Amino acid sequence: MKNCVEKEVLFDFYHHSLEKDQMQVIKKHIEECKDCRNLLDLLSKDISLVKDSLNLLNSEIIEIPEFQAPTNNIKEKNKINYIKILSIAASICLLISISTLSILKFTRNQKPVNDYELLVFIPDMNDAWKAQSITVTHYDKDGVLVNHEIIGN
Amino acid sequence: MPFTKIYNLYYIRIYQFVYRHSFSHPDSEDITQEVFMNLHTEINKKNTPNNIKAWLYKCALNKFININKRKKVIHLTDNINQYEKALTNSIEYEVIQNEKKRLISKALSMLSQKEQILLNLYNDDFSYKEISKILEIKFTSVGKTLSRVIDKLAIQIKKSNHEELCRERSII
Ligand SMILES: [Zn+2]
Repeated sequence: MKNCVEKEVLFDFYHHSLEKDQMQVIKKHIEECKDCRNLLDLLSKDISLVKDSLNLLNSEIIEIPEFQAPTNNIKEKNKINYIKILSIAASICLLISISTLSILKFTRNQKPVNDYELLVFIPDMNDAWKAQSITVTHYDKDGVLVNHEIIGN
Repeated sequence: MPFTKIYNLYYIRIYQFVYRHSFSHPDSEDITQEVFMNLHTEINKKNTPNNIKAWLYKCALNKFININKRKKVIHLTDNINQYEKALTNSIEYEVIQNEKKRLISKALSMLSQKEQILLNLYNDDFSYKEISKILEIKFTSVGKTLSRVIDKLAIQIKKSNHEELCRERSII
Protein backbone atom coordinates (compact mmCIF):
# COMPACT_ATOMS: atom_id res chain seq x y z
CA MET A 1 0.00 0.00 0.00
CA LYS A 2 1.27 3.44 -0.82
CA ASN A 3 2.05 6.17 1.76
CA CYS A 4 2.97 3.58 4.37
CA VAL A 5 4.39 4.94 7.63
CA GLU A 6 8.09 4.69 8.32
CA LYS A 7 9.10 2.73 11.41
CA GLU A 8 10.64 5.79 13.10
CA VAL A 9 7.50 7.82 12.56
CA LEU A 10 5.38 4.96 13.77
CA PHE A 11 7.50 4.88 16.91
CA ASP A 12 6.78 8.56 17.53
CA PHE A 13 3.11 7.96 16.77
CA TYR A 14 3.07 5.20 19.39
CA HIS A 15 4.39 7.71 21.92
CA HIS A 16 1.97 10.47 20.87
CA SER A 17 4.98 12.62 20.06
CA LEU A 18 3.86 13.97 16.68
CA GLU A 19 2.06 17.15 15.72
CA LYS A 20 -1.72 16.92 16.04
CA ASP A 21 -2.51 16.93 12.32
CA GLN A 22 0.23 14.37 11.60
CA MET A 23 -1.18 12.13 14.33
CA GLN A 24 -4.58 12.32 12.63
CA VAL A 25 -3.18 11.43 9.20
CA ILE A 26 -1.30 8.38 10.49
CA LYS A 27 -4.20 7.24 12.62
CA LYS A 28 -6.40 7.26 9.56
CA HIS A 29 -3.82 5.39 7.52
CA ILE A 30 -3.33 2.68 10.14
CA GLU A 31 -7.04 2.07 10.34
CA GLU A 32 -6.99 1.27 6.63
CA CYS A 33 -3.61 -0.49 6.30
CA LYS A 34 -3.03 -3.97 7.71
CA ASP A 35 0.75 -3.86 7.16
CA CYS A 36 1.12 -0.75 9.29
CA ARG A 37 -1.14 -2.21 11.95
CA ASN A 38 1.07 -5.29 12.09
CA LEU A 39 4.19 -3.14 12.24
CA LEU A 40 2.73 -1.13 15.11
CA ASP A 41 1.86 -4.34 16.93
CA LEU A 42 5.40 -5.65 16.44
CA LEU A 43 6.80 -2.35 17.65
CA SER A 44 4.82 -2.38 20.87
CA LYS A 45 5.92 -5.98 21.51
CA ASP A 46 9.56 -5.04 20.98
CA ILE A 47 9.18 -2.12 23.34
CA SER A 48 7.77 -4.30 26.11
CA LEU A 49 10.44 -6.94 25.51
CA VAL A 50 13.19 -4.35 25.87
CA LYS A 51 11.55 -2.74 28.90
CA ASP A 52 11.08 -6.09 30.64
CA SER A 53 14.68 -7.02 29.90
CA LEU A 54 15.97 -3.73 31.24
CA ASN A 55 13.95 -4.15 34.40
CA LEU A 56 15.54 -7.56 34.91
CA LEU A 57 18.75 -5.67 35.51
CA ASN A 58 17.25 -3.89 38.50
CA SER A 59 18.59 -4.84 41.86
CA GLU A 60 16.19 -7.15 43.67
CA ILE A 61 16.20 -5.86 47.21
CA ILE A 62 16.63 -2.23 48.09
CA GLU A 63 15.86 -0.71 51.43
CA ILE A 64 15.41 3.00 51.72
CA PRO A 65 17.89 4.13 54.34
CA GLU A 66 17.03 6.95 56.71
CA PHE A 67 18.06 10.26 55.21
CA GLN A 68 21.01 11.91 56.90
CA ALA A 69 20.73 15.64 56.53
CA PRO A 70 23.91 17.05 54.99
CA THR A 71 26.30 18.96 57.23
CA ASN A 72 28.42 20.24 54.37
CA ASN A 73 26.24 23.31 54.09
CA ILE A 74 28.65 26.26 54.14
CA LYS A 75 26.62 28.27 56.63
CA GLU A 76 26.27 25.31 58.95
CA LYS A 77 29.94 24.51 58.54
CA ASN A 78 30.84 28.04 59.55
CA LYS A 79 28.48 27.79 62.48
CA ILE A 80 30.13 24.57 63.58
CA ASN A 81 33.60 26.14 63.25
CA TYR A 82 32.42 29.12 65.27
CA ILE A 83 31.09 26.82 67.99
CA LYS A 84 34.35 24.85 67.95
CA ILE A 85 36.48 27.99 68.37
CA LEU A 86 34.20 29.28 71.12
CA SER A 87 34.35 26.04 73.06
CA ILE A 88 38.13 25.86 72.76
CA ALA A 89 38.42 29.45 74.00
CA ALA A 90 36.05 28.72 76.86
CA SER A 91 38.01 25.66 77.93
CA ILE A 92 41.27 27.62 77.83
CA CYS A 93 39.69 30.32 80.02
CA LEU A 94 38.44 27.68 82.43
CA LEU A 95 41.86 26.06 82.58
CA ILE A 96 43.57 29.40 83.30
CA SER A 97 41.08 30.38 86.00
CA ILE A 98 41.29 26.99 87.71
CA SER A 99 45.08 27.05 87.72
CA THR A 100 45.17 30.66 88.99
CA LEU A 101 42.72 29.82 91.75
CA SER A 102 44.68 26.78 92.86
CA ILE A 103 47.93 28.76 92.85
CA LEU A 104 46.24 31.45 94.97
CA LYS A 105 44.86 28.82 97.32
CA PHE A 106 48.27 27.23 97.58
CA THR A 107 49.94 30.53 98.45
CA ARG A 108 47.22 31.26 101.02
CA ASN A 109 47.82 27.88 102.64
CA GLN A 110 51.50 28.65 102.76
CA LYS A 111 51.54 30.54 106.09
CA PRO A 112 54.40 28.69 107.67
CA VAL A 113 55.54 31.75 109.67
CA ASN A 114 52.79 31.33 112.29
CA ASP A 115 53.31 27.61 112.51
CA TYR A 116 56.99 28.19 112.80
CA GLU A 117 56.43 30.59 115.68
CA LEU A 118 54.30 27.96 117.34
CA LEU A 119 57.02 25.41 116.82
CA VAL A 120 59.43 27.75 118.59
CA PHE A 121 57.31 27.60 121.71
CA ILE A 122 57.07 23.89 121.76
CA PRO A 123 60.44 23.25 123.47
CA ASP A 124 59.26 25.30 126.45
CA MET A 125 56.02 23.31 126.53
CA ASN A 126 58.09 20.15 126.47
CA ASP A 127 60.22 21.45 129.25
CA ALA A 128 57.09 22.11 131.25
CA TRP A 129 55.88 18.62 130.42
CA LYS A 130 59.21 17.11 131.38
CA ALA A 131 59.04 19.01 134.61
CA GLN A 132 55.57 17.59 135.00
CA SER A 133 54.24 20.89 136.12
CA ILE A 134 51.25 22.83 134.81
CA THR A 135 50.64 26.44 135.60
CA VAL A 136 46.97 27.43 135.98
CA THR A 137 46.14 31.09 135.89
CA HIS A 138 42.60 32.53 136.28
CA TYR A 139 41.56 36.09 135.65
CA ASP A 140 38.04 37.55 136.19
CA LYS A 141 36.13 39.78 133.75
CA ASP A 142 37.98 42.91 134.78
CA GLY A 143 41.35 41.29 134.40
CA VAL A 144 42.03 40.93 138.10
CA LEU A 145 44.10 37.87 138.99
CA VAL A 146 41.90 35.33 140.78
CA ASN A 147 44.00 32.21 140.98
CA HIS A 148 47.55 31.29 140.08
CA GLU A 149 48.91 27.88 140.97
CA ILE A 150 51.48 25.41 139.73
CA ILE A 151 50.27 21.83 139.74
CA GLY A 152 52.78 19.04 140.06
CA ASN A 153 56.45 19.04 140.98
CA MET B 1 6.15 18.51 48.14
CA PRO B 2 8.05 18.00 51.41
CA PHE B 3 11.54 16.59 51.12
CA THR B 4 10.85 13.27 52.90
CA LYS B 5 8.01 12.55 50.48
CA ILE B 6 10.27 13.15 47.47
CA TYR B 7 12.94 11.00 49.11
CA ASN B 8 10.62 8.06 49.69
CA LEU B 9 9.06 8.38 46.26
CA TYR B 10 12.25 8.53 44.20
CA TYR B 11 14.94 6.81 46.26
CA ILE B 12 14.44 3.36 44.75
CA ARG B 13 13.94 4.69 41.22
CA ILE B 14 17.17 6.66 41.30
CA TYR B 15 18.98 3.74 42.90
CA GLN B 16 17.77 1.35 40.18
CA PHE B 17 18.63 3.83 37.45
CA VAL B 18 22.20 4.07 38.69
CA TYR B 19 22.36 0.34 39.36
CA ARG B 20 21.31 -0.49 35.81
CA HIS B 21 24.34 1.46 34.62
CA SER B 22 26.92 0.60 37.25
CA PHE B 23 25.85 -2.83 38.59
CA SER B 24 27.58 -1.75 41.76
CA HIS B 25 25.68 -1.51 45.03
CA PRO B 26 28.24 0.75 46.76
CA ASP B 27 28.25 3.14 43.79
CA SER B 28 24.45 3.15 43.52
CA GLU B 29 24.11 3.79 47.24
CA ASP B 30 26.69 6.58 47.31
CA ILE B 31 25.37 8.32 44.22
CA THR B 32 21.73 8.11 45.36
CA GLN B 33 22.62 9.49 48.80
CA GLU B 34 24.63 12.31 47.25
CA VAL B 35 21.83 13.18 44.84
CA PHE B 36 19.33 13.59 47.66
CA MET B 37 21.83 15.53 49.76
CA ASN B 38 22.21 17.94 46.85
CA LEU B 39 18.45 18.24 46.53
CA HIS B 40 18.19 18.88 50.27
CA THR B 41 20.71 21.70 49.94
CA GLU B 42 18.88 23.17 46.93
CA ILE B 43 15.57 23.13 48.80
CA ASN B 44 17.21 24.76 51.83
CA LYS B 45 18.54 27.50 49.56
CA LYS B 46 14.96 27.95 48.27
CA ASN B 47 16.15 26.74 44.86
CA THR B 48 13.66 23.87 44.53
CA PRO B 49 13.86 22.64 40.91
CA ASN B 50 10.73 22.87 38.75
CA ASN B 51 10.88 19.31 37.50
CA ILE B 52 12.18 17.42 40.51
CA LYS B 53 12.16 14.01 38.82
CA ALA B 54 14.23 15.24 35.85
CA TRP B 55 16.55 17.13 38.19
CA LEU B 56 17.20 14.02 40.28
CA TYR B 57 17.99 11.88 37.24
CA LYS B 58 20.24 14.47 35.69
CA CYS B 59 22.10 14.88 38.98
CA ALA B 60 22.49 11.09 39.29
CA LEU B 61 23.66 10.88 35.71
CA ASN B 62 26.34 13.54 36.17
CA LYS B 63 27.62 11.83 39.28
CA PHE B 64 27.66 8.45 37.58
CA ILE B 65 29.57 9.81 34.59
CA ASN B 66 32.06 11.52 36.91
CA ILE B 67 32.68 8.32 38.88
CA ASN B 68 33.18 6.43 35.65
CA LYS B 69 35.62 9.03 34.41
CA ARG B 70 37.57 8.65 37.63
CA LYS B 71 37.56 4.89 37.25
CA LYS B 72 38.46 5.32 33.57
CA VAL B 73 35.64 2.95 32.64
CA ILE B 74 34.00 4.42 29.58
CA HIS B 75 32.15 1.40 28.35
CA LEU B 76 30.04 -0.84 30.46
CA THR B 77 31.57 -4.11 29.29
CA ASP B 78 33.13 -4.49 32.72
CA ASN B 79 29.68 -5.15 34.07
CA ILE B 80 29.53 -8.40 32.16
CA ASN B 81 32.53 -9.56 34.17
CA GLN B 82 30.65 -8.61 37.32
CA TYR B 83 27.87 -10.95 36.30
CA GLU B 84 30.29 -13.70 35.50
CA LYS B 85 31.74 -13.27 38.97
CA ALA B 86 28.28 -13.36 40.53
CA LEU B 87 27.47 -16.39 38.44
CA THR B 88 30.16 -18.47 40.10
CA ASN B 89 28.87 -17.98 43.63
CA SER B 90 25.12 -18.09 43.30
CA ILE B 91 22.52 -20.80 43.74
CA GLU B 92 20.81 -22.57 40.87
CA TYR B 93 17.80 -20.26 40.49
CA GLU B 94 20.02 -17.26 40.53
CA VAL B 95 22.25 -18.83 37.95
CA ILE B 96 19.42 -18.76 35.43
CA GLN B 97 18.50 -15.20 36.39
CA ASN B 98 22.10 -14.13 36.19
CA GLU B 99 22.50 -15.80 32.83
CA LYS B 100 19.56 -13.78 31.52
CA LYS B 101 21.02 -10.63 33.02
CA ARG B 102 24.39 -11.41 31.53
CA LEU B 103 22.90 -11.75 28.07
CA ILE B 104 20.98 -8.50 28.40
CA SER B 105 23.95 -6.57 29.68
CA LYS B 106 26.00 -8.07 26.87
CA ALA B 107 23.42 -6.83 24.36
CA LEU B 108 23.41 -3.43 26.10
CA SER B 109 27.18 -3.20 25.94
CA MET B 110 26.90 -3.05 22.16
CA LEU B 111 25.23 0.34 22.54
CA SER B 112 27.10 3.54 23.28
CA GLN B 113 26.88 4.90 26.80
CA LYS B 114 24.66 7.74 25.65
CA GLU B 115 22.30 5.28 23.97
CA GLN B 116 22.15 3.20 27.14
CA ILE B 117 21.33 6.24 29.22
CA LEU B 118 18.70 7.33 26.72
CA LEU B 119 17.11 3.91 26.90
CA ASN B 120 17.13 3.85 30.69
CA LEU B 121 15.53 7.28 30.88
CA TYR B 122 12.88 6.10 28.43
CA ASN B 123 12.34 3.04 30.56
CA ASP B 124 11.71 5.30 33.55
CA ASP B 125 8.82 6.98 31.70
CA PHE B 126 10.40 10.25 30.75
CA SER B 127 8.86 12.13 27.87
CA TYR B 128 10.82 12.98 24.71
CA LYS B 129 10.95 16.56 25.90
CA GLU B 130 12.39 15.64 29.29
CA ILE B 131 14.93 13.25 27.77
CA SER B 132 16.09 15.90 25.32
CA LYS B 133 16.55 18.32 28.22
CA ILE B 134 18.40 15.89 30.47
CA LEU B 135 20.75 14.63 27.76
CA GLU B 136 20.98 18.02 26.06
CA ILE B 137 20.10 16.58 22.66
CA LYS B 138 17.60 17.67 19.99
CA PHE B 139 13.96 16.79 20.58
CA THR B 140 13.71 15.22 17.12
CA SER B 141 16.69 12.94 17.64
CA VAL B 142 15.19 11.36 20.78
CA GLY B 143 12.57 9.35 18.88
CA LYS B 144 14.92 8.50 16.04
CA THR B 145 17.64 7.21 18.35
CA LEU B 146 15.19 5.36 20.59
CA SER B 147 13.50 3.66 17.68
CA ARG B 148 16.85 2.49 16.32
CA VAL B 149 18.20 1.40 19.72
CA ILE B 150 15.08 -0.55 20.68
CA ASP B 151 15.08 -2.26 17.30
CA LYS B 152 18.71 -3.27 17.69
CA LEU B 153 18.26 -4.45 21.26
CA ALA B 154 15.07 -6.41 20.55
CA ILE B 155 16.86 -8.31 17.80
CA GLN B 156 19.75 -9.13 20.13
CA ILE B 157 17.47 -10.25 22.96
CA LYS B 158 15.37 -12.42 20.67
CA LYS B 159 18.52 -13.93 19.25
CA SER B 160 19.94 -14.82 22.66
CA ASN B 161 16.55 -16.10 23.83
CA HIS B 162 16.44 -18.30 20.75
CA GLU B 163 19.97 -19.59 21.37
CA GLU B 164 19.06 -20.36 24.95
CA LEU B 165 15.98 -22.26 23.83
CA CYS B 166 18.05 -24.29 21.38
CA ARG B 167 20.59 -25.09 24.08
CA GLU B 168 17.83 -26.24 26.43
CA ARG B 169 16.39 -28.50 23.74
CA SER B 170 19.77 -29.99 22.97
CA ILE B 171 20.28 -30.73 26.67
CA ILE B 172 16.92 -32.54 26.83
ZN1 LIG C 1 0.67 1.27 5.67
